[in-house]
Amino acid sequence: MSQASRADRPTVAVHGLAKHYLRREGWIGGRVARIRAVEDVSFSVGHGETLGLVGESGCGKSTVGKTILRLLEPNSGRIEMLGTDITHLRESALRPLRRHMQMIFQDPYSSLSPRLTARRIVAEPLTTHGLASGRAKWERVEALMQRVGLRADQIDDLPHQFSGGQRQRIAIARALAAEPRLIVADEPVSALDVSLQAQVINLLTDLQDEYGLAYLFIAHDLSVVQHISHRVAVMYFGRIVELAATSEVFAHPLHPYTQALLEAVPVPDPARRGMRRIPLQGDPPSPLAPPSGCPFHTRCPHVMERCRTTPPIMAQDAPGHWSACHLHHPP
Amino acid sequence: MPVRRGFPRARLAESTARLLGNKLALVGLVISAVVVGLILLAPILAPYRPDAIDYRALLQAPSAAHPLGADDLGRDVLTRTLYGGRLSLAVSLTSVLLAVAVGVPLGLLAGYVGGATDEILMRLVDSLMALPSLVLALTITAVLGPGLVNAMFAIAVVGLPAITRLVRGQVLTIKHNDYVLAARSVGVRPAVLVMRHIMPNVLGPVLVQAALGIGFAIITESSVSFLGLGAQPPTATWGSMVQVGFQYLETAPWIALAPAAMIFVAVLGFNLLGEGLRGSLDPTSRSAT
Amino acid sequence: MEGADLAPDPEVLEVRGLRTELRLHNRVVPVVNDLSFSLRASETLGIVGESGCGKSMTALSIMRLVPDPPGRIAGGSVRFCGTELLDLSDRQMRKLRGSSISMVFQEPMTSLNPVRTIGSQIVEAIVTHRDPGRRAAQEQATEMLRLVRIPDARARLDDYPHHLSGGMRQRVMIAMALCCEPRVLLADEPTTALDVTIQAQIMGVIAELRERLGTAIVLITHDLGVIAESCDRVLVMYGGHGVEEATASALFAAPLHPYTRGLLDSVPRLSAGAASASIGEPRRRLREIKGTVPALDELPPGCPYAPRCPLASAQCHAAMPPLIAKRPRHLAACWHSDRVAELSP
Repeated sequence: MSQASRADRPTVAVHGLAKHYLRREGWIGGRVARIRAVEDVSFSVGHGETLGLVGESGCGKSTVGKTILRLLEPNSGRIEMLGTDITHLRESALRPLRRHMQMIFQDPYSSLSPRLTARRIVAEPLTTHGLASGRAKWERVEALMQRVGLRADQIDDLPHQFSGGQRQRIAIARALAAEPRLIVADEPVSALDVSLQAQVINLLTDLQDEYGLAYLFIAHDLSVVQHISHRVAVMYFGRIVELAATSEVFAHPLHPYTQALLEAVPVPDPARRGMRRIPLQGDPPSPLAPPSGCPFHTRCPHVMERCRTTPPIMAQDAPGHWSACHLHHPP
Repeated sequence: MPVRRGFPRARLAESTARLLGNKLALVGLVISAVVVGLILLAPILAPYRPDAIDYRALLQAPSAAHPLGADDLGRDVLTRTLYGGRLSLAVSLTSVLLAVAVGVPLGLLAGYVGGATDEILMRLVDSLMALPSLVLALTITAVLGPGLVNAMFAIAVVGLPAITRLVRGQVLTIKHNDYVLAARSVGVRPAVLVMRHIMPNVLGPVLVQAALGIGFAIITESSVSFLGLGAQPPTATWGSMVQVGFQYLETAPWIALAPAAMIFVAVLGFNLLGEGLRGSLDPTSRSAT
Repeated sequence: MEGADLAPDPEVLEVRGLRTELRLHNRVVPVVNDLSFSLRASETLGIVGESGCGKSMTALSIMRLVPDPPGRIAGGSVRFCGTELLDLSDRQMRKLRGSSISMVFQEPMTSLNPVRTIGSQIVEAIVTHRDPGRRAAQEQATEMLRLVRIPDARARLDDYPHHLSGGMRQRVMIAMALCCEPRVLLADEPTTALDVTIQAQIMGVIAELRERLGTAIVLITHDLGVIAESCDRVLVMYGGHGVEEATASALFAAPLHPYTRGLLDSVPRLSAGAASASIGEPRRRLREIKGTVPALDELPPGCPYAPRCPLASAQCHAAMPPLIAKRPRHLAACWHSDRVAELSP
C-alpha cells in the first residue's frame, strides 16, 4: 500500500465526489428524477502509479474520469490536482493546470478532429499552452510521433488515413505533448483488435516507467486491468465497492460483486471449462429506480436484511484493502 | 527536416478525384462551368453591345444577324442574355456569400453556446422562415426600395435561416464528439475550439447548401425582377428580361424564352453540382471495408 | 450425448472453397478466400479472428445475406444437410432462414424493430415458418422466452424493445432465432456488446439450449476466453483465409500457426495469484504481434500473415500455404508449422 512517490502528495486525490443528472419525467410539469451517476467516490493516484477503475456499463467510471478533469461539473466533493483544489476553479484559472491532466478516449474514430492533420493534432497542446513554437514545436511533435511508434512520413495525414491502433497512438502522443502528470485513460484499448491491444498496453506501461505518469485506467476488461494496474477500484452503480492493491483484489476479492465479476470472465483455457459457478443473475438496477440500502442487494448471493435498508460504508477490512459491504464490517 | 508531402494538394486531389467520379456532380459542374464561361466571355462572344438599339430590327425573329432574335427596342437578345447573366449571377453569388458569411457565425454561436443565446437567435431565424421566401424577398425589397442591390440583400436575408439552422444542427452533433471533449481537456479556448475543430467539419454541408442556394437565389432574383422590384431599366437581368418579354410572348416569344432557358440551365447546373458535392466532399468516408 | 464416441454425428454444414468478394472502387476484394470447414450436429465451432478477417462475411455468405452490391459469393460450395445452398432460389433460401438455419447478430439494439412489441416479433418469426394459429404461436413465444430465462415471460410479450436491457434483448434475439428449432445457429459476436456478467448469463443460456435442442452452433467472436469456454472446435481466420482448425484443447495447448500463437501470447491472462508490480518497477510486457491487421484490398501475395510473422521465409511471401492436416484433426495453413512451438515464451 505504501506509495513510492517522488513527491509526498499524490498526483490526484478525490474525496466524496458526486455527479448527478436531472432528468425530466413526463411531458409537462412532470417529476424531475435525479440520476446519481457517481456517488461518494474517493481515491488517490500517486506519481508513477496506475489505478485501475473497473466496472460494467453504467457504473459511472467514465463519468468519474471526465469529472475529475472538470469536463463535467461535480455536484459535490473535492478534487485535488497536484495539491491544488480544482473543484470550483474558474476555467481561466484552470486552463494552465490542464496541461498536467490529459485524457485518452475509447473511440479512436471520434477522438481525433477529422480535418486536422496528425501534426496539428499533436501540436495543439504545445500551441495552447505556449510550450514551444516554430521549429522547436515541430521537432517536438515529430519526436512524440516517433516515440509512440508512428512513421514520420505520416505526420501530415488525416485521421481517416490511419488505422484504429495508429489513431490511438496519435491520441497518446497528443496526451503526452504537454508533459502531463496525470493521464485519464478511458477504455483506451477496448475498441482495438486483440493483437493491437498488446502494443498499446506495452506503450502505455513503457511511457509510465519513463515519465513517472500517473494513470487512471478505466476499463471493463479485467485481464487488462490486472496487467497494467498497481491498485484497482471496483465500481457498481456509481459507487466504489472495493479498493485495494491489484494482487489483493484478484486473489482475495472481498465484495460479492467483485467476486461475481471475476467469476464471469471467460478464461482462455479449455482445461478450465465448466469450473465456473453459477453466473450473477438479473440485470443491474435502473438508475431511475435506485434500490434502497446497498445497490447490489438485488443481485447479491449473500444479501442480509441490513443490506436492504442501510447503505454500507467504505471501510478498511485489511491493511490497504477497502470494501463497502456489510458482510465484512458490521457496525 | 520535417517531411511535408504537400498535404493541401494531396487532399484537394483526393476530393477532386472523388468529385469527378461522381457522375451527377460532373454533369452539374460541366453545365455550371459552361454557363459561367459563357457569361464571363460575354464581351468576346456577344455580337453587339447590350444597349445597342437598332430600329430596323424591332421584334425581329432569330436570324443570321440576330441568332436569338431582337427585342422591342431592336437590341440583340443573345447579347443581352449573356450580359444579363452577369448581373443575375453576380447578384446570386453575392447574396449566397452574404448569407453564408452571416449565417455560419450565427449558427456556430447558437449551437455552441446554447442556452438563452440559442433560444433568441433561433426565434429570430424562425420568424424569418415563417414567411414564404418569395413574399419575404418582395417585402424587404419593397421596404428598402426597388433596385438590384436591395434585392441582393433581400435574397441574402431569405437564405440566411437555412444556413444558420444547418450550421447549428451540425454544431449540436459535433459538439458531443470526443475530439471536442479532447480539445477542452487540452485547455483550448472556446473561440479557438469552435474555429479549429467545429467549423471545418461544418463547412462541407454548408458548401452543398450554398451551391443549391445559388440556384434558389437565381430564381428568387428573377422573380423579384420579373415583378418589377429588382433590376430597374435599363439594368437587365434574366428576370427583368423575362418581364419585358412577357408582353410579347405571343408575337416574339424569343425575348422571354432565351433568358428563361438560361435560368433553367443555370439552376439545373448548380443544383446538380450541389447534389453531387453532397456525396463527395466528406473526407471521413472510408474506401476499404 | 451418449454414443457420440462410437460414430461421429452427421455433418449438418459443409463449406468447401467458399469465396466471397466485394467490389469497391473498381477493384475486387476477396473477403472470404477459399474457406473450408464443416460442422456436425450438436457441435459448437468457434470462428475467431480480428476485424477484417472475414468471419462475419462467412456467416452472411452461409445465410446468403451478403449485400449485393457490393458483395457477391464468387464460388465454392455450402452444403446444409446435403442441400447445396448456393444453388437455391431466393424463395427456397427464405424458407430455410429462421427455421433451419438462424442467425443472431451483435447489436441487439438495432436487430429488433423498436415500434413493435417483443411478442409480435417472436410470433412473426414462428408464423413465418410454421402455421400454428395465433394462440398457439403466442404460447410458443412465451415458452421460448421462458427457455431463455426471461423472468415474467408472459408479461414481457407486450413490452417494446426499449423497455428491455441489452442482455434481455439479446435473449429475445436468441429466442427468435431458436423458436423454430433450427439445425444450425450462426451467432456473430452475440455477447461482444454486453457486460461480462451478462455475457456469462447469455453463454449459459446458449449452452442450455444447445443441450436441449441439439442445435449445431457457429460462434463467431474475437474473444479467446469465450472460445475456450464454449467451443468444441475452433477455426482461426486471418486476411479472409482459414489459417488453423483444431479442437479447442489442441488449439490452446499447441497451436500450429504463428498467428494463433501470437494471439494467445498477446492476450493478458487473468490470474488469481499474480503479485502486483511495485510502483516504479518496470512491468512485464505483453508479447506483441508487430504490425497491423492488413486491409483486405492490400494483401500481399503469398501468406497474408507473412509481413508480421517471425517465422516468415521467402516461400511464405511467394505462395499461400494450403490448410492441411498437420496432426490428426488439426489443420494449419503454414509452411513452418513444425517451428511454431519455438515461439513459446
